[in-house]
Amino acid sequence: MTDLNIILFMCGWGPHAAYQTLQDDVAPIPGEIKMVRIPCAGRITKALLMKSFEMGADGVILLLCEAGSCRYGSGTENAREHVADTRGILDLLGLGKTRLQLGNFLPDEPERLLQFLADFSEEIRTLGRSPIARGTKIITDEQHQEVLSDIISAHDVYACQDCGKCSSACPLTRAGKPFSPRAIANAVIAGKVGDPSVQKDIWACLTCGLCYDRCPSAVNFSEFIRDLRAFVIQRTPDKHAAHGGFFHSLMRTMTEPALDINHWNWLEDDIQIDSDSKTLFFGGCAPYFDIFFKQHLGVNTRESLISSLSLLNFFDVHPALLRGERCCGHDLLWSGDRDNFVKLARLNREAFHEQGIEEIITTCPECYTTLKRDYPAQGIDLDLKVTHLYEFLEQEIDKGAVDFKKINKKLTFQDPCRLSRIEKRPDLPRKLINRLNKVSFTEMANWGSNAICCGNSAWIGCDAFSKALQVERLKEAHDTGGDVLITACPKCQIHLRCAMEDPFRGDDLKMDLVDLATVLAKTIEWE
Amino acid sequence: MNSVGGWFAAVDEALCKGCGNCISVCPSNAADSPYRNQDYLERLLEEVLVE
Repeated sequence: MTDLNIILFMCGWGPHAAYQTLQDDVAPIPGEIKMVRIPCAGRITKALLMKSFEMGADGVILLLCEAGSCRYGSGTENAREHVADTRGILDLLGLGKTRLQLGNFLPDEPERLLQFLADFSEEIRTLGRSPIARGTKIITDEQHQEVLSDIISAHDVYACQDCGKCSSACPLTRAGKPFSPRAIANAVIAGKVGDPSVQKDIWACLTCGLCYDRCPSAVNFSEFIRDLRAFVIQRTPDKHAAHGGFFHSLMRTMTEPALDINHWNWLEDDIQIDSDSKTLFFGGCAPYFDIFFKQHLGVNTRESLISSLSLLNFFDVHPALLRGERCCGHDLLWSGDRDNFVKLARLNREAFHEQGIEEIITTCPECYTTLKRDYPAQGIDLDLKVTHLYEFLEQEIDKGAVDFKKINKKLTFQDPCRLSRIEKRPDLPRKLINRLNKVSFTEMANWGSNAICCGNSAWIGCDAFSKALQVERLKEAHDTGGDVLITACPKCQIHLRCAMEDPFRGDDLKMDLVDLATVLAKTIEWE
Repeated sequence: MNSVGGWFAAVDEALCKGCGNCISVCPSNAADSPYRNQDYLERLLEEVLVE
């Protein structure tokens, strides 16, 4: 017997025929291999591969037909992409890419298959058990049981006057979705939280905060929804997750303390880092996003991290980095998985304190508000200063002697909801944009605290209405007559690029998207 | 034959290879296979991996 678990996803055609021969011959297939037969390996998503590791699989194999022999045409190619991307992410996570292997087999290759399985099992035996504890359940901490009446009173939902300002401001309503914040509030107060429409709408909210901005009774609807999600998830753990729940799996995997994460292994040497510095640059999950989305969107959100570090270096700040940097937990918190959020937050606090960090600088608006606002609100006091990169830059540039090279572009700007609305700092990016030496800067029709969402939040509830919202936002950007849409959040980049991939309207929607940190880093110079 | 005297099709589970060809040609979306359902596969993983 063995205590290892290797999941073998097996295409039902080529490799399965070979496997059946092995079974018929009672060949010595290693005992730790647990076979899951599927119609086509191309249907095993990155989310399912990640899920296996989240649940503590020690190794995963995806077996597929030889290139060119796929019954469905593109299965082999899809599977290759899914495995390559997931391996890249396992590498960053410190689980090691060797724990995931791909194999192509024809029906008449049972001996080669047996050898492959034996070799892989041997390799996993050498690596030992995965550091991830087995069977991570979503809810683990009993003491955080949510009570509905507490949630209603905590956010003073009874104060709702049913005036409808929230519905008329809501970006989802604007996109034509039958969705109304006040209707949810009324239904929950009336004890109808279990109604199918309410259950659905709870996961649709963008938590963008525009309704809170307009609410005459100051009902913080986003936070109400956030807590409702935590309440609902304990009963029906279906999160309407986008991308098959890949990112939630990834974040939950990171709650394992034993994980030897390698967050910055891609960073080039020309960036000056000082491991003794008391100032930490917190990057965020951009490196994971880039691997996950590279096949489709040409996403390069990592660039904003390199640009931020170059800007810090420009002002002679050589920050520390956490080699084992974990996710801040924003998306777990906002998708209702508070227990795992708290686990991540505790691990992060421990890592900051171990390194004696006194100040954290970050450029990601989600990391910023999470570290600054949500950690203390959820009982995790960091006891250190959290600064947005833009605050630091504004202060430094204001000292003078800094200039910007000419950019022959007309600019416009997409507000990130976490910075412009939750933190109420739409001024921060604008002060910097105004300093740029550009042809022009024109605001979109809805800007600042009125800005419209990029379409999604916390990797949940993506549908046709999200797409409609993105299309509308990109039209507003084009209406400014600008050439470049500046963004300040990696998620805005990803979501707006996704809309530009539309096969019918993509060409009308295409526009250059650049992160503000990158524009600044490319043009800044000493006078 | 069913109760009202009509015929209906049934899948012989022992012979089904799960190829999905019936799904792509079925005019009424009656045919489906759990092996292309992510929830089903997730639960299957749970059965194997959760202790």
